[in-house]
Amino acid sequence: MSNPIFRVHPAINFARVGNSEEYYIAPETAAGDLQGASGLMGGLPIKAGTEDTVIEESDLRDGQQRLKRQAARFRLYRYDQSNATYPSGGGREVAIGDVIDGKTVKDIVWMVHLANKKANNYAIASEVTEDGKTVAVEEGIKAYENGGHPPARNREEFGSDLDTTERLSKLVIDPGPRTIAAADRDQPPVVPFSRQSEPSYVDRQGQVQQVADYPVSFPDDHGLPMFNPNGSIRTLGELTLEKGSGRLLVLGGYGLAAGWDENGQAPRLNDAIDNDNWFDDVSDGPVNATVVFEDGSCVEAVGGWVITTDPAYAPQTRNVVSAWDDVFNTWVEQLGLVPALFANGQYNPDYLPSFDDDILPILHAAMLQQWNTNLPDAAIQGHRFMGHITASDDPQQKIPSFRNLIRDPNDESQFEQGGKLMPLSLGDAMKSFLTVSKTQYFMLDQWYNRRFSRQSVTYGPGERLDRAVLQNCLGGRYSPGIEVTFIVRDVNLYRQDWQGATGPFRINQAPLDYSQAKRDKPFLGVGYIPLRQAAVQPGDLSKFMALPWHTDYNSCATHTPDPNPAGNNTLYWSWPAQRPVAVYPASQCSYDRSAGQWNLGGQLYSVRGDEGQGTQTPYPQQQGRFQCYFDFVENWQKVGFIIQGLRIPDGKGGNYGADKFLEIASLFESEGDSVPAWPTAFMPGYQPPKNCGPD
Amino acid sequence: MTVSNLTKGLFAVSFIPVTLLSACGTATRDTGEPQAMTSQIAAFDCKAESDWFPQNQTPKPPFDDFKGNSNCAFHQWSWQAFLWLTQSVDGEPRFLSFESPAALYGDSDLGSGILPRMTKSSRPELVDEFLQAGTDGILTDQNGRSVYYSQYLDSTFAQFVTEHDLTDPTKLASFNPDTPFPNGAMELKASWKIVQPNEDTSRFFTMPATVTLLANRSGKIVIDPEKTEEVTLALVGLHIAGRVEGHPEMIWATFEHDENAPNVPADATAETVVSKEDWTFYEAGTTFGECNRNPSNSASRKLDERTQTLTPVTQVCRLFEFGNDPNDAVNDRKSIAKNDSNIHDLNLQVKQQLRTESSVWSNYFEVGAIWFLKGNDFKANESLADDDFLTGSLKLSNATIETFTQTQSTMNNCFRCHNTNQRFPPEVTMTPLPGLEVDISHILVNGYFRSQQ
Repeated sequence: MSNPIFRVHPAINFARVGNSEEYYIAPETAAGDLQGASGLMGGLPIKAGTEDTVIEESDLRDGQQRLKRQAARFRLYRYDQSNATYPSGGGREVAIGDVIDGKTVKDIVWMVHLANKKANNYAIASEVTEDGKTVAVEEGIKAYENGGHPPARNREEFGSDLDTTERLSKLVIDPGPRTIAAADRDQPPVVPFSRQSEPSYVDRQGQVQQVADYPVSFPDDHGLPMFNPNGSIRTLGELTLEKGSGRLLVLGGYGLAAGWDENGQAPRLNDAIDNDNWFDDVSDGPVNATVVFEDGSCVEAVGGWVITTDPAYAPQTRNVVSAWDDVFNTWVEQLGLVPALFANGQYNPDYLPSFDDDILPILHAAMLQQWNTNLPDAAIQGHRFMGHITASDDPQQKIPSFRNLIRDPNDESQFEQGGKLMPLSLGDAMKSFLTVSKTQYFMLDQWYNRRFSRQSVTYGPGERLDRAVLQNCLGGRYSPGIEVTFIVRDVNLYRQDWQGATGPFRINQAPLDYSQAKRDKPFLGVGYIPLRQAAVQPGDLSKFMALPWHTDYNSCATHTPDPNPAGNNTLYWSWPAQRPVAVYPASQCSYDRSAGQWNLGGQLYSVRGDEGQGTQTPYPQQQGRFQCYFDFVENWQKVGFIIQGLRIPDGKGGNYGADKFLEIASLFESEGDSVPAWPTAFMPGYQPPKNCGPD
Repeated sequence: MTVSNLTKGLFAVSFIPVTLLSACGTATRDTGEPQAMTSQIAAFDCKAESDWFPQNQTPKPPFDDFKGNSNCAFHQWSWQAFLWLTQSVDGEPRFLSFESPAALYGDSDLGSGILPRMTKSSRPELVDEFLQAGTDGILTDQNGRSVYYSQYLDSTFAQFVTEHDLTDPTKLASFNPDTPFPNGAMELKASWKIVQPNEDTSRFFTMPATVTLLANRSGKIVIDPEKTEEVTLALVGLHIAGRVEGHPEMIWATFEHDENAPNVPADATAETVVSKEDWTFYEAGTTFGECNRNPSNSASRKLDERTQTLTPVTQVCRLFEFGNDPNDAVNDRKSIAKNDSNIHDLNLQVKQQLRTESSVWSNYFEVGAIWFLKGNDFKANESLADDDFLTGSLKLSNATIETFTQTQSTMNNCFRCHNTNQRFPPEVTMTPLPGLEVDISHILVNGYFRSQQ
C-alpha cells in the first residue's frame, strides 16, 4: 500500500466570538438539511463535550448571560489513495493508538497560528471619482484587477505601503503560532493566543519547539494612545482539545473592538466597513497536524484553516447562496473539480444533479428566509411552497415559469431587476440584486427540465464536513460579508494541485520558518493579495472583512441596491439568513390550549435596543439597527438567536415545534420600532445623531 | 410642467377639502372649494362631456368604441364610469347591483376574503374583507375600527368567466394565456368606513350593512364568520378597472372621498407635519414619519375583540396627488404634468356640476388612472415591475385601499400586483397558477386558489 495521506478536516472551519469563557462547538450539519424524521434542520451548533448533540436554548449563554463562543472542531483523516475525483467518498478519522501500515499513532500534534491584519490591509471600498466627487465604491475583486487595489486603511497616519516595518508591527495583531498535543487528551490543556503562553511550532521531526523570540504583537504594545471601551485586546483566543478524542478545538476572541486616539480624541466610528484607528479581535490562520508514530517517524498532514468571525445568530437559516456555493462554483468552473459537470468552458447538459444534495437545499433556503425577514403572508406562503417540493413532484407543474422566478446569473440585464425575481436580496460588486451561482442555476435548470438524479451523492466524512461548514456561511453578497468575502472566488487563494495528496478547498498556506523569528522584526508580511501569486499567511482571510466587524453587522439590515435601479426606493435585505432583521420571539408566542399548540406572535427587530442613541427611528432604511455604530460595539452580545422550536423548551413539558424558528436569548429589553410587512421604502431626510462618538 | 400647469397644480392644493368627520363625529368646517369660472373651464384641454349631466342620464362609458387617442380620453372614461356606476338605479348606486365574486363562484361560504353579499335587495350588505392586499395591512380608522372592503363584477366579466368555466381551477390553469378579458369587463373594489353614532355623514354615500366581526385566532387577526354587526358604512374609496378597446390590460382608475387624508408635500421628511387639520383618517399634527405605518408583522398590532377596536390607529397621508410624483426621476415629467392637469381639470368640472345637483358624489374625486401606453404590449407572464409599458398616474394608489404601499416602488401602482405573472399558492398542497393575461384580475387568481381548498 502506498503511504497513507493525512488531511485535516474541515478544510476551512469557523470559530465565532462571544464574551463568555464558555463555548459550544461549530455545527457539523448544514442549515436547511433535514436531520431525520423529527423535522430537525441542520446547522445547529453542538454541545461542548459531545459528539453531535445539538444545542438548545440553555446552551447559548453562560450563567452570567454572557454569549458563549463557538469553537471550531478539527479532526484528522487518513486516505489510502491520492485524490483523483471529487468527491472521493473516502477517508477515515485517525485517533491515537490507530495502527496504520503497521505503525501505531503515538500522538497528533496540532499547530495553529492566528493573526489579525485588518488594520494593515487595503480598505474594502475603492475611491472612485464620479461627477467630480470622490465616492466610495465596493467593487469586490475588480478593484484588484490590473495590479490595482483600494486605498490602504490607516494611510493618513501610517502611509499607503502595507509592507513597512511600522505598519507590520503596529497594525498587525500577531500572537504567533501555538501547539497542542493530542496525547494530552485526557486532561486537555488550554493554550491561549496571548502573552500567557509562549509561541511554539512543530519542526520537521515532529518535535515542538518554543519560539521565545517571536515578535508577539498586540495593540497595546506599541505606544499608541489606546481607546479600549470594553477592555484591551490581549488574546485572539485559545487552543484546547476535545476530552477523550484529542480532536482540536480552536476558540476565537471575545468580540472586542479597540481603537487609538485620533488627533487627541477618541477615534471616530462612522463607516459601515472601513474605520481607521480601530482593531477587533477576530482572526484566522492555518491549522496543521503532525502525526507522530511510536517508531519516532512522523507525517505532516494536509492542513486546514480556521477563521474567527461574528456570532451565528440564526445558525439554521440557510443562505440561498452560501459560501460553499461560491467556493464550489469557483472550483467547478476554474479548477476542474467535476469535469462531468463542467469542462472546456461549458456545463454538460447530460449532467444529472442530485435533488437531495443540489436542489433541495436551495428550496429549503428559500423557505427558511421567512424567519429572519418581514415577508408578508403571501410571500411566506410562496416561499413555504418552494420548501415543500419533493423529488417526486413535476418541477414544471410546481413552477410554471422558471425564467420568471429565478434571476439568471448569466444575464446581466437581470442584475438590476428586483421585485419579482428571486433571490429577493441584494447583490455585491456593483450587482444590484443577488443571483444564485452559475453552478446552482445550471443545476436548477437541469432539474426544471426533469434531468436530475434521485440518488444522494456519496461524500467521505471529511468531505462532508468541508461542505457542511461552508454551507453554513454567507455567500453571494460579499460586501464584504460575514465569515469570508469575495476572495473565495479567487483561485490564487487555494492550493490548486488538488488531484493528489492535497485534495480540494485547501488554502494556499505560505510556508513559515519559525526558527527565523526575531523579536525586533515583524514576522508576518503583507501576504496574500487577490489576483496575485503570494501565498496565504495567518490573518490573510479575515483582513478583508469589515473593521471592526460590528459596524458592518449593525448596518446590514436593509438597503436600497447598489447601484440602485432607476426609480427604485424599495429596501431589500443584505444578509437575511446570517444577519436576522425581523424575528419571531418565542416570548411573543401564545399557547392555544384547545389545540395544544403554540401560535406565532408578532415580529420584533432582532437589533432593537434603546441603549445609547437607540435603534428607533421613523426612517425605514434605518430601522432594526443602532443609529450609532458605537452602540452596537457596546451591545452586540445582547442580540438573540433564532433556532428551531424543537430545541426550545416551552415550559409545559414540550417544545415550540419543528415548524417554527424563534428568537430566544435576546437581552434587549426594548421592543423597538414596530415591524411592517415588506416592502418598505427609503425615506429621504434622515440625519444621524450628532453625538454618536465614544465618550 | 408648464407654467400654466404649475399654476393649476398650486390651485389644486388650495382646493383641499376641509369638511371633516371629527373623532366625535361632528363636522368641523364647511367645504371651501371655489367655483370654477366658466372662462376657466373653457380654457381646460380636458372637458367633462355635457351628456354626463345630470348624472341620472350619464351614458354607459365607451368600451367597444373607446378612442384612447389622448391622456384626457382615459380620465374622461374614468369619470364617466364613476358617474355611471354611482348612478341611482332602483334607489341605490348601480355598482351595488353588480355581482359579487363569491356569487360568481357559487359559493355561500368561501371563508376568509369574500363572502356573498345580498345583491339587488334592500337587505344590508354583508361585508367581510378587511386586509389590504399584499401587505396584510389593516387600515384602522380614528375610532379604532377596521376599514372594510367589497368587490363587484359587471355582467360582461361574469359572463366571460362563466362561458369559459374559469371558476374551475383546471380550466383556468389550462386557459389560453394570450386571451384577455373582453371589452366591457369591469371589476370594482370599494372601501368602507364604519359610521359612528352621531357622526355627520351628509357628505358621504352611506348604506346599512352587516360586517363580519374580527377575532384573534392562532396568533392572527381574522374574520369570525359566526359573528356579525349591523352598521352603517360610508364609502371612502372606489377602484374601477375596465377593459376597453385596445387596452386588454384594463384602465385602472380610483376615486376617493375628499376628506380622507391630506396630501404629503413633495419635500417632506419624517418630521414634517403633514396637516394641521383633522381628516377622516388623519389626526391633526401627525408627522409624515407616523403616516401610513403598517404594523402588520409587529407584536404591537392588537385587536380588542369585545370592542372590535384595533391598535394602533392608522394615520393616513396621500403620497401622490393625482397618482404621480411631480419630481419623478424616471418618467417624462411633461406627460406627468399633463396627466395631472387633466385629472385636476376634470375633477373641478365634474364636482362643480354634481354640486349643482346636490349630489353626494360631488364629495368624491378621481385620484388618477393608469393604463398601458400601447395596449398590444400586454402579454402573459409579465411582472410589470417597472413603468416601461405604463402611462397615466404612474404611482397610483387609493389612500384607503393601498394605504401602506403608496411609495414602495415594488407596489406603488396597480400593475405592480395586477400583472400576468405566475402565482404561487397559499397552501403547499395546491397547484400554482401559470402566467395568463386574465391573471390581471385577482378575483380569478384568488378564486383559483380558494377553489382548491
